[in-house]
Amino acid sequence: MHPHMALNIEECIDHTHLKEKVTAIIPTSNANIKCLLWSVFSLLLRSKPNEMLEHICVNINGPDERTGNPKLQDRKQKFLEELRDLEWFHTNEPSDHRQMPLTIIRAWSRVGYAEALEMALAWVHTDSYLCMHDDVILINRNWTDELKIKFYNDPNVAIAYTPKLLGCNCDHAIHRGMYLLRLPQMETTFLIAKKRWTMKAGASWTGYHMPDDENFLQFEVNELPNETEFFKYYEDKGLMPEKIQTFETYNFVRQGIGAWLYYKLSQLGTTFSKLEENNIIHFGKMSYDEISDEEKNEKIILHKEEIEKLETEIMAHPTFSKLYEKYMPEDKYA
Amino acid sequence: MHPHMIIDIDEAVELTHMAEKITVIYPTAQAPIECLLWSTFSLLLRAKVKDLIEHFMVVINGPDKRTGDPTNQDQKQTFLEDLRKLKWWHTDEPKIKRDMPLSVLRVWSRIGHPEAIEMAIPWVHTDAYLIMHDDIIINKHNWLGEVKDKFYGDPNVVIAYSPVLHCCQCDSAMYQNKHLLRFPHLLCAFLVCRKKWIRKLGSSWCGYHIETEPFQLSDKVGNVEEFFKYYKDLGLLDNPPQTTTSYNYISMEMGAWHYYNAIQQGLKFAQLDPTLITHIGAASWEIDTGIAERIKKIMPTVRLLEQEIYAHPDYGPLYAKYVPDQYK
Repeated sequence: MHPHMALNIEECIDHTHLKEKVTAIIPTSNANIKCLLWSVFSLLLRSKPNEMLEHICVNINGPDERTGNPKLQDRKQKFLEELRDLEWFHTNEPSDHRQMPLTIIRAWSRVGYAEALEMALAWVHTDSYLCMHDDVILINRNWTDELKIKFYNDPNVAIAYTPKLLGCNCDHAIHRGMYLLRLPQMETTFLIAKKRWTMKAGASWTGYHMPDDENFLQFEVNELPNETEFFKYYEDKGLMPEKIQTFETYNFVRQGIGAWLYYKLSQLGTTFSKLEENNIIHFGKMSYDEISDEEKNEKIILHKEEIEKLETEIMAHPTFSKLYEKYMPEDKYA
Repeated sequence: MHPHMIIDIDEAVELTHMAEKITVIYPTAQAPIECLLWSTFSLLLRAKVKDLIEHFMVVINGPDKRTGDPTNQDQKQTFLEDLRKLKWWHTDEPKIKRDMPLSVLRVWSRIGHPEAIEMAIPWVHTDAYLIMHDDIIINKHNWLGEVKDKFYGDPNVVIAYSPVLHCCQCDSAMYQNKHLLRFPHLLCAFLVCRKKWIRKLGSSWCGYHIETEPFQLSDKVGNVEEFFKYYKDLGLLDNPPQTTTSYNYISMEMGAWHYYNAIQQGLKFAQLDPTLITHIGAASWEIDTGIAERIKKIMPTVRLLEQEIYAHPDYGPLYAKYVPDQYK
C-alpha cells in the first residue's frame, strides 16, 4: 500500500520477480580465462539445474581495439557463446536438464567491477542475485540449502555473504601523501542480495573515490555536523576499532563498492547473514595488472587440489569437458 | 556534510563526474538500422565536437541465436565498430577533431528499453546524461544552447525534455478485459538528466507491469480523495481512475518512480523546444504499427540530414555502406 503509487517499490519487486530464485552475476575483465572457466563450471556442476539458481549473467568488460587488446575478452565471449548452446545437466541426473540459462553482457572501452555488476541488475528477474567474482570456485554442492536457511528464511536479511562482508572499517590511510578517510565498503566475492531490499535502499554498488583530479576536497573531522554522533555511529557497529585521526586535514574520502548500499541497508534495519567460509575458494586479485603472473599462479597452485577435483567433475561431463579442453590454456599452472 | 558518510551522494557525484558535460545513451533493439543511422549522424553533425557532449553510448539489446535472429543487432554492432574508428569532426571546422567518443554495450538474450538504459548509467562519468530513442532525428544545430540555459541554468532542474514529459496521466484502462490502474510515466524520447539528482532519488528507470489479486483503489491508496487531489494538483488527473470495479493490474512504466520521487524532492522539469527532434515512434515494436508510412512522412527531414552526411568525407561512405538500398 502506498498513498500515491498504490504499491511500495519493494512490493513492485515482490509482484514481478521470481520467488526464491537467484541470478548469478559474474563480471569478468582481464583475469586469465582459466579463472572464468573454473568459476562458471563450478557454479554449473555444483548447483542443481532446476533448483534455486535460475539464471547466470556474465558481464565482460575491457578495451576496444583503439584502447587496448580485446583478444582475451573476445575469447571469453566465444567460450560463453558456445556454452550457451549447451544444455545444463549433471551426469548423475541427465533427465534434470535445462537450456543454458546464460545472458552475455559486454562493454567495450570500459573497465570497472562495480559498474559491470550494475549493468546486469536491471535484467535480474529473480528476487535475489548472487555477486560472484570470476576468480572464485564454488566448493559446496549444498550452498543453496544454507541459503534457504540463512537468507530466505529470515525476510529481514538483505544480504548473505562469504567469506566476509566488509572490505574495510571506518578508518584513515595516506593517499598521495595526504589523509584519506575510508568508509566501510562491501566485499562482493560471493554475496547474495535480495533485490526488494537493495531497491528499497535506493543506492547503487558503485563506489566513489573523492575528489577526482578536477575537483578539490578538504575538511577536518570537527567540521562534521555532530562529531560525537559520527564516532558513536561507527563504534556502536564495531566498525571503528581504532579512532581515526582528528588533528589533521583530510583531502580524500573513499566510499568504495557497496558503501552506500551497506549504509542504507543498515539504516533500513535489514540484516546481513554470514555463510560458511568453505563454500568457496577465492584466488583474489586475478584481474589486477599490478600483480605479476608469477604471483597469480602461486595463488592458484595453493588450491591445486580443489582445482583437480573440479576438473574430474568437468571431465566426466560429456559436453562441458570438450568446451573446457578447448578453452583451457595449455599450461594452467604457469 | 553527511552525518555518517561525510559526503552526501549528490556531492559524491559532483566530486567525481565531469561538470557541465553530457553522455548520450541510446538503446537500440530491433528497429531498422536506418533509424540508428539517422539518430547517430544527426547527433554527430548537429552537436559541436567540443561542447557539452562528452561521450555517447549505444546499448544494443536483442536475441541470441537460440532465441531469435540477431542479424540486425550484429549489423548495428559492425556499423558502430566502423564508426568508432573514425574521428568526430565537422567539415566546416576540420581542425576541431576528437577520437570518436563512443562506447558500445551489448546484451544478448534480453530485450528492454529501460533495462538497456540502466546498463549504461554506471559508466556515465559526466554530470548529466541524455536518454535518446534510436528512432529520433535531432533537427537543430544549436540545441545545446537551450540545454545550457534551461537545464544547466537552474540547479534544481532534474530533467529537461522534448517534446513532452509524460506518456500518460493517472488514469485507468482495460487490459485483457480487466481494469488496469496507470501511473504517470515518462516519455524518454529525449531527456537530459542530472545524474546527482537521479542518484539522490534512489529509484531506477525500470517500469513495472503488475498483475495482482483484485483490489479496490482504496485498498491500495487508503484515502482516495487525497490520492485524487495529489494528481489533480499536478495536472495529471484529466480522467480519474474508476472507483466502482476492482482492478487486476497496475502499470508503473518507465520513469514512473523517478518522476514520483523527483516531485517529492521538489525538483523541477524543463521543457525544451518541442520541434528539437523528429520522432518516428514505435520503430522497435514487433507488430507493424505503420512504421513505413511514418518514415515516408518524415523523408524530407531525412533528406536534409542526408545532405549533411554525404557532405562529410568519412560519414558519407559509412552511411552509404549501411543504409538500405531503398533510401539510395
